[in-house]
Amino acid sequence: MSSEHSVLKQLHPLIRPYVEMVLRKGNVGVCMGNLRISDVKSGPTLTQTKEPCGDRFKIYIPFAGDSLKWEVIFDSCQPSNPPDFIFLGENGNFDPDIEKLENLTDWDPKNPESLVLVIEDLMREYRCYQKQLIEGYSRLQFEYSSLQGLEACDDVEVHMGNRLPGTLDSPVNFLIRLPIDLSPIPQYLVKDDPGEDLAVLLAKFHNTEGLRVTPQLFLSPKVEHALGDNTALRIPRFPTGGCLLDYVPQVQDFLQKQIDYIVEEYQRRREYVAAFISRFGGSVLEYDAESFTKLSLVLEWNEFFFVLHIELPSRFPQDMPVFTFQSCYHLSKTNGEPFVSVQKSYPYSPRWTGEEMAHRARLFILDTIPQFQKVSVSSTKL
Amino acid sequence: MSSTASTAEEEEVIPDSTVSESAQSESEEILSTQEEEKEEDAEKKDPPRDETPHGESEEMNSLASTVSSSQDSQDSSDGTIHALLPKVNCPEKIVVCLDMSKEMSSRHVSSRDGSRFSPLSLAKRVIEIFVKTKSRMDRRHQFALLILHDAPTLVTDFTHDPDVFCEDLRAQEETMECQTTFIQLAPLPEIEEVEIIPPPYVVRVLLMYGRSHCVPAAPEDSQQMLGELLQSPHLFLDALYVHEPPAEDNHSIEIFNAICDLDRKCLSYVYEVATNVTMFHNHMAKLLAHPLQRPTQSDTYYKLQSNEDVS
Repeated sequence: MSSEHSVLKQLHPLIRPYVEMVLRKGNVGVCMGNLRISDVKSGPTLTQTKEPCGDRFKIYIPFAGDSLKWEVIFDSCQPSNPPDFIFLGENGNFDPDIEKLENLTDWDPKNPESLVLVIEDLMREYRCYQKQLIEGYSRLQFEYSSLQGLEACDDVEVHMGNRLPGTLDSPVNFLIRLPIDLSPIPQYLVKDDPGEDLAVLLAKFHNTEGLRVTPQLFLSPKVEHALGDNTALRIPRFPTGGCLLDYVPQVQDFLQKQIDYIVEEYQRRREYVAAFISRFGGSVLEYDAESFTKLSLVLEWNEFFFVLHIELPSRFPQDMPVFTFQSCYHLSKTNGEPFVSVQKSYPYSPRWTGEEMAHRARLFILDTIPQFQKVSVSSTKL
Repeated sequence: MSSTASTAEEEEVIPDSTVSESAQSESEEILSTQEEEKEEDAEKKDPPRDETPHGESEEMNSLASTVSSSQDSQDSSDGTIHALLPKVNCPEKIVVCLDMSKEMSSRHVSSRDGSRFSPLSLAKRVIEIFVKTKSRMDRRHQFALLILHDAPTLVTDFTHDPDVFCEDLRAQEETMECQTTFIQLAPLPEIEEVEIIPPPYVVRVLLMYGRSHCVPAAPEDSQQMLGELLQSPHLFLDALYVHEPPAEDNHSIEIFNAICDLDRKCLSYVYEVATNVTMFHNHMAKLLAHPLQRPTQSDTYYKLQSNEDVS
């Protein structure tokens, strides 16, 4: 933000509003990464003045995993004129038909969003331009058209990069936005993350034949946090000789499974805790009411009271909860903490319902408690 | 059992002038938070959930109802009282009020194996186990230590660290002849005004009272304030009363009743014990329960095996 601030300060005051709007609203396209403005310069001025008079600058627009570099040139002597554009780098051949750029031909100097609108026009034309470029390559053309209307694909940007040295070939990026619906995810996993749910798949074709494709999954912070930070690393491999038509739904499926998995694990934990509270409701001390990962009870057996802490592991129900028996009478001599006995192994099956688990747990506790009482009394003195 | 040296003024409650001055500033602070809370309470009665982000409040409601519905099968009554706050394990700020009157150290009780303890040493022991267990269940809980001589004195301000607390606890040795007691919940922290469901924390006062001759009472002019405080949805008062066995020459029963009277919302846990050391520990274990998630005292049930169970 501070670099944005300094950019704005350097600009001529009549040009500043357009750029401000671009910075605020200029995220166009599938959007992976932020639009950037830098290198503010000014053209020749009529008067020597100390006022900021920057009227040209470079703009970097994220597109299909690459960054387009354009130069935007206003004229501070005639700030109500529309700007010129120079397309730098590999985009040098981009030559849009000016008739199609309505917001440029009918430039409205009074509308601060004018520059945003022109950029949107240009981006639209640029996308067409890229589509035309790949038309010459049957493989790429096939890939692109096959993605249109695919359920697993919300939007796609394609971008042909710089020619590979010594060849007539170029790498091509396909950036595909995948539909993602986080609404079933339990609130506690997403409540601290504002921002959008975004999942994009970047498929880098190393050449126009499409024989080598490197996929990468990018998730917005909210999605990453909800699904677990490792998710993006574990997408299925792109099969050799495969195509996006088959692969993109695979990735979409993978994402959906992650969501289903999270939801299901949460439900299982909740069911478990609810079953224990139902069975032992009169003995509840506390339980995690948000993510249902722990629960503590105080119980009595033959006038012997004890505390039971239950902790659910992250891979519950595959992994069994840990039972920690704690004495309410004795502190351990070794560390001054209440005497405990941890039980990580007991009769258990992940296929049992929560109620069955609670029932079996009670039996296990009854079996274990006499020994616990003996040990806790003998190893410490009341 | 040895009896305490009785003092003539044990029944009068005469506020010490110096103490009531300090009470003044604290009470102002307490009064203002009470008013803010009253507004919150009024808002809460109308559909309050509209003010909260919908997703979260709906989720909380369904969580609360899912878990509480299973508890309702065990709870026999009081559904309306529990509806005031959702059953979330928010952090607790626990003020342990430890009575340091002479009776706490001059009496002695024996355990099963013959060892003798004063109520004070027992209290220190069970409090230590309590604090360490609470901290294990949730590191966000905080503990403060207030000792009761003639006037309450804050020894340890709220801390997350059980070791810090226990060190201060163990250092408490000096008991005094106490002729008066007040109920003065000072210094109470200002409860944060933001009443989003669920509350950011709740305050629990754990009173460990040990006098058999001195009836706790509030001075006239702070009775109303006390009443308001005790009605606060964020404040809970639990007590463990250790006393001489009731007899002609002591006021154990009267004192116990006075303590029970403090339970204005019927949500407190109040226990008493005279000589049974094991029972002392048992009661403290029951007091571990989180005020928003525990059943009412009448609905507690700890037996793992009922008498009819022979399986």
